[in-house]
Amino acid sequence: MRYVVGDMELELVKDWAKLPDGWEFKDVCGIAIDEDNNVYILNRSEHPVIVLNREGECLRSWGEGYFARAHGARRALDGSLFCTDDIANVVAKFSLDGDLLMQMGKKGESSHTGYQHAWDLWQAVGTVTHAGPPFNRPTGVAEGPDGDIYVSDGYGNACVHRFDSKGDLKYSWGEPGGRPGQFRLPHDIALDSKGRLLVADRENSRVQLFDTEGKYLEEWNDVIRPTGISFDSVGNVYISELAMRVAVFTPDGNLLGRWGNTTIDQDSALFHAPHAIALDSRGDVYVGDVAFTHAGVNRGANTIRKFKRVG
Amino acid sequence: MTYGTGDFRYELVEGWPTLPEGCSSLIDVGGVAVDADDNVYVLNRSDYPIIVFDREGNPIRHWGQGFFKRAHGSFIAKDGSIYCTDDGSHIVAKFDPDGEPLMVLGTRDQPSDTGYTRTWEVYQSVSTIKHAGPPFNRPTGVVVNADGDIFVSDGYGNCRVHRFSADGTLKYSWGEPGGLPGQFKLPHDIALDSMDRLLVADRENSRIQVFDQHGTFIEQWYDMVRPTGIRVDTNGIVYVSEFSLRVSIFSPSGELLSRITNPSHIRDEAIFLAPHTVGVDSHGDIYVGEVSKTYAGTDKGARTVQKFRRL
Repeated sequence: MRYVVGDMELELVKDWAKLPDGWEFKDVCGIAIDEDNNVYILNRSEHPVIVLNREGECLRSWGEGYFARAHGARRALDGSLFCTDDIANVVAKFSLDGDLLMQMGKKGESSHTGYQHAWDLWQAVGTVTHAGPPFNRPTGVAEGPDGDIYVSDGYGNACVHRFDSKGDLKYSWGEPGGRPGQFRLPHDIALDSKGRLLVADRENSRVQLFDTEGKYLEEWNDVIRPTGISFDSVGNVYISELAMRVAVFTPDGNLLGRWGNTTIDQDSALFHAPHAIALDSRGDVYVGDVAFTHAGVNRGANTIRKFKRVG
Repeated sequence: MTYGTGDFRYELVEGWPTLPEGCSSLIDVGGVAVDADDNVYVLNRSDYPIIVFDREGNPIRHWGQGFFKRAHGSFIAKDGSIYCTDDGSHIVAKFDPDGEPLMVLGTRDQPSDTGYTRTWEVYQSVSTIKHAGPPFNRPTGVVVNADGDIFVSDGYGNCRVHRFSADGTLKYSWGEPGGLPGQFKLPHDIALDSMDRLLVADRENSRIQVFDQHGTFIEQWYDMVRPTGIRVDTNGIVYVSEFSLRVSIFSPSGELLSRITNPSHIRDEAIFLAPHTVGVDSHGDIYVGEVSKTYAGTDKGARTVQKFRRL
C-alpha cells in the first residue's frame, strides 16, 4: 500500500517488526531513532525499550522493571534518550544501552492540580482546576540547544515546564482551558528548527506554538487529537493523531498531506490509536499505536508501522 | 447529598420517573424538553420514543413509535409544538404535543455530501468530513426563534448551522470543519439565549460558540469539556450537559456559576455516565438525560433521565 503526501510517496512495510518469540509491545507509546537508524521503541510490555534495526530485527532491550507506565521518548542532543513515565510521574534520561543518567521528579509523587484519576478520561481531564508544579502524569519531552529540558505535563496537569540541563526547574506556563496558552492534556512537545516549541494540545485538538520562554505564537487547528510530533530533515512537521491518521505540515503550518485508515473495517485498519511518530535519516516514518490501552486490541508486531520513503 | 454550589444547589430526586407500562428502559435519552406546564418530554431510543411525564414523574402519554431511527435532540416552541432531530434518518421533525407530525425537514435516509464516512470510532468519523454540506448529515439539535425561524446544528456528518423559515425553507447556513472561530467539530446542540444570541455546543472543540442569528461570530466559552446539550431558562441562566460527566451552569454572559459532578472517581458511585441533554422547568429543577447505553454500555433503565430539585 502506497500513500502520497505532497510530493512524497511512502510505502507500508508489511510486518516490519520481528520480535523474539513470546515478546509483544502491547502499546508503542514512544519512538526514537539513533544515528545508525536503529529504532528505540518505548512500549508497555515487559521489555519497555526494544531496539530494532531498520530491517526490524531485534538488537536488544532494556528498562525492565523501571517503568510504571511508559509514555513518551525523544533523543537528547548528546545522543542519550529521554523517556517519560506518566504513572510514576518521572522524566528519565538513559544512555542508549539503558543506563539511567538522570531522573526528574520523584517516583510516585504527583503535584496538586485538583486532578483526580477516574475510569473516564474526560471526567479526569475535567477535574484539573489549576496548574501545578512538576509533575502530574507527564507526557512528552524536548531539549533545547542550550541543554534546557522542556516537559509537557500532562494528563493531570496543564503546563509546560522548562528545566536547565541539570534538571532544576526554571519556570512553567499554562493553565487548564481552551484559550491560547491554556491546555487540555498537553501530550507531546518538540522544538523545531526555528527554535519554536510545538505542543500537542490533545483534547483541544490543536498544536500550540510558543517561543522557549513560553510566549504564545500561534496555533495549528487542522488536527484531531494530536498525540506525537516529529520532524524530517527539511523541517516538515509530522504529527500522529488519535483520529487514526498522520499529518504532515510545512514548517509554516500548511498541511502538505496526511494518510491513515482507508477502510472502515476495524480488523484490517492501518491504525487504531496513533500515539508516537519518528523519522530516520532516509525519511522513513515509524508510527506507534496504543491500541491495547485505547481500543483493547493487541496488534502484535504491527503495533508499530513502518512507512518507507519511496519517492 | 447536595450537588452544585452557591445559588445553584440541587438534590437528586430518587425514583423519578415512573416508566409507562410495558416500557422497561429508556435505553438512551437523546433530548429532554419541558413545556409551559412543566411537563417533561423525554426523547429516547426505546420503543416509546417520546414519553411525556408530569413534574412528579408520572407518565402522561407517549408517542412516536416507528418514527425514529435514532432520536437525538429536541426543543419545545412557544406554541407547544415539539421539534426533534433524528441523526439516523437525517431529518428534523415538528410534532404537535400529542405526536401528530406537522412538518419534516430533510429527506429521510438521504444524507448530504460532506465527505463524511461513518466508522467504528467517532473521532475518525469526524475527521473524514472534507467540506460543509447542505442539510443534513446526521443533524443533532434544533431551536426556534420568536418568528418561528428554525435553526439546526448539523451534525455528526456535517459542520454547519442551518437557518430555515417557519415553513421549512432554507434561508442560509454557516460553518466549516475545523477549530477556528466559526468552524465546528461536531456541532451537537443549539439554543437561543436571553439576548437572542445562538449558542452552539461545539462538542469536539470543547467550547460553546456564540453567534448572532445571521451567523456572525460573537464569542466563545471554554470552561467545559465536550458539551453535548444546552438549555436556557427564563432568567437567561445557561445549563450545559457535558460528556466529561457533569452539568455546568453559566450566567448569561458565560461565567461559571455551579457544576454538578460525579461524587467520586469510582464508576459504581457515578450519577452520570454520559450526559447528553438537559432540561429546566419553571421551578428551576433540572432534568438530565444520558446516552449511557450507546456511550458507556450501561442500561440505566428509568434512571437514564434524572431529576435534580433546586434547593
